[in-house]
Amino acid sequence: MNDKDFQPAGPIDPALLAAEEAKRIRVWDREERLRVIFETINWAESQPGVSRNNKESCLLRQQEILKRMGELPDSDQAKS
Amino acid sequence: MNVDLVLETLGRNQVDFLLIGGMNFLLRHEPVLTFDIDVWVNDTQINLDRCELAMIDLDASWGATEETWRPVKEQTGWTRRQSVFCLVSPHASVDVFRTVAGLASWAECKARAYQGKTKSGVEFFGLSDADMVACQLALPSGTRKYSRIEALRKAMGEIS
Repeated sequence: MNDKDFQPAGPIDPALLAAEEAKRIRVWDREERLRVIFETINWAESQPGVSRNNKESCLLRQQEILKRMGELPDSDQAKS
Repeated sequence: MNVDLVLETLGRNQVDFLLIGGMNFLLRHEPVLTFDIDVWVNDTQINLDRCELAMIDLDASWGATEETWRPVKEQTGWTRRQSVFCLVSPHASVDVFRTVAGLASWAECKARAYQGKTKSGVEFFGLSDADMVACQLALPSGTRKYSRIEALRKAMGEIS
C-alpha cells in the first residue's frame, strides 16, 4: 500500500489503549482466549530463567511480599 | 510455540520491530504474569505494510469497532488508522504500537536494544532496560509498575 497522505502516528492516548484492550476482550471468544492465555503462560514458563514455580523464585517472591508487609522472613528474624 | 511463532512471523516478513512490555521484561529479567505480546514497529509505510502481512500470516483479526471487527486478511491499510492496535490471533494476543509514550525515536531505541533469543532459537530485538524505565516513567503515576522500575534500576546498577 502506497498512501500519499501517510502521517506518522502521534502520541498514544492512554484512553485509546484502554479502549483497544477492552474491545479485544469483548470480541474474543472466552474459551479461545483462555486457551491462548494458558498457551502463552506455558511458553513463558518454558523459557530459561523465567519459571516462577521453583524454590528460588518462591522464596524470593515470599521475601519481597513479607518485606512489603513489614514482616521479616524467618531467616532474617533468626539473625536479629 | 505461540510466542515463537509471532516473533518468527514478524521476522520472516521483515518487520522492523522491538519487543516491549511485560514479555520483554519477562524474557530479560523476572517472571511476571503477562498475556500479551507487545511490539513497537518502526512507523514507516513499508514497515506497516509488512506488519499487515505478518498479521495476516498469524490469522489475526482487528476492527475499529466490534461491529467492524474481522480478519485482517480482509482489510488493507488498517495500520494507518490509529497509533495502537490490540489484535486477536489463534496463537497469541498481540499489541502493535506505532508510538510509545516516553520514547521519541524508534531507530535510537533499536540502536540501544538488546538481541535476545528464545529457548527454541528465535531471535528478536528487545527494548533496552533504560528505555523500559523511560516507558514506565511516562505512564500516569497510578499505572506505573514500580516493582518493574526497581528491578530495571537494579539491573542497570542505579540502585542496590
